[in-house]
Amino acid sequence: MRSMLTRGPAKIEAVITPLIDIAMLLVVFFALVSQIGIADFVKLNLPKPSPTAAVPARNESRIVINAIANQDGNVTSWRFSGEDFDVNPTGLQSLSKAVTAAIRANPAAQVHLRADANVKYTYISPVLDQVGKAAATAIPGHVVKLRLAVQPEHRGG
Amino acid sequence: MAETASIAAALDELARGQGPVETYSHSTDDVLANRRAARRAKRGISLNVIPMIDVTFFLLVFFVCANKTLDREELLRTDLSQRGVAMVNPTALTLDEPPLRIELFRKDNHTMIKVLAPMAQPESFEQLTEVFNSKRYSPENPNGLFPSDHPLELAPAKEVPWEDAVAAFNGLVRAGYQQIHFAEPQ
Repeated sequence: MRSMLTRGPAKIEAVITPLIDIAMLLVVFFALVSQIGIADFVKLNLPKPSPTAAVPARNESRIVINAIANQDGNVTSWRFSGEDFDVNPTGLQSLSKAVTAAIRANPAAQVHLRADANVKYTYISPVLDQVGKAAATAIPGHVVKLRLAVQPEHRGG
Repeated sequence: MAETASIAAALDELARGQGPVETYSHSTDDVLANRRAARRAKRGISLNVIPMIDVTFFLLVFFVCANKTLDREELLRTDLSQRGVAMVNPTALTLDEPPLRIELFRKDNHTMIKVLAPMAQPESFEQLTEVFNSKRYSPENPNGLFPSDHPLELAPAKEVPWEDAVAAFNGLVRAGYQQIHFAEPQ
């Protein structure tokens, strides 16, 4: 009994390891589910030209347009900045407005077009039109740099 | 009772950091307990590496996940100088020379290539590169017909897969041409 009384005051110390664990888990979680990641890089089976003239993507400002397609090569929607746009004329108009605003906000940005390898060209062509219009509408005389996303040769798949 | 008092005194000394007290060790358990307490008292500052390892691995996971998608892509350069501007301001589309048109169409579930010019018709995208490279004018190839900045118009049919359109575009870029644009589908 006496030993308990003579033990002295208890030491108070912060155990920071769980705090660090939780903080890093949150960082990883939000990084993975953030709008930027989802909006810019939808998982797609990109074309794979071989031998390729493509260059690796750099850390340049970009505007990414993704074609969400089914297995038959029909685009079901266009995804831009986390928002889905229909494949009808109204949806394309909305996409054009969104791209116009993005180009106006960042004129130096490249436009990256990401589409599945099996997407039919009939879906791609109107978007090329809309991107061209958007650039010219945002800044008269402005020619946007269009980049076509492809898979590197050295990767499998 | 005296034994309890002596143990309490020993613990008091330990609490004050005065090290082990061997004289009170009346049993093996007491001796071991005293030694453990002494080691704790002498330990002082120590480095706990477990949080560092945790943080390091989380950072590793984070950067692997963040870079995985970006590393997987490459980009083919093009621009919409002809097509995009033409939609808004036709006067800006005043080409010095008419573009050379390359059409892609589907036949028997394959994509075929048709060059609208009196030249050899390529049967594959590899041949497309070879043919257009041989026709490109340069000091090394003075018999070439087209300079590298000659406009080329790539016109895939509606049902042509994007992969083949990109392959044709890639082939023309590899052939050394700089002004290639996609046309309306046939």
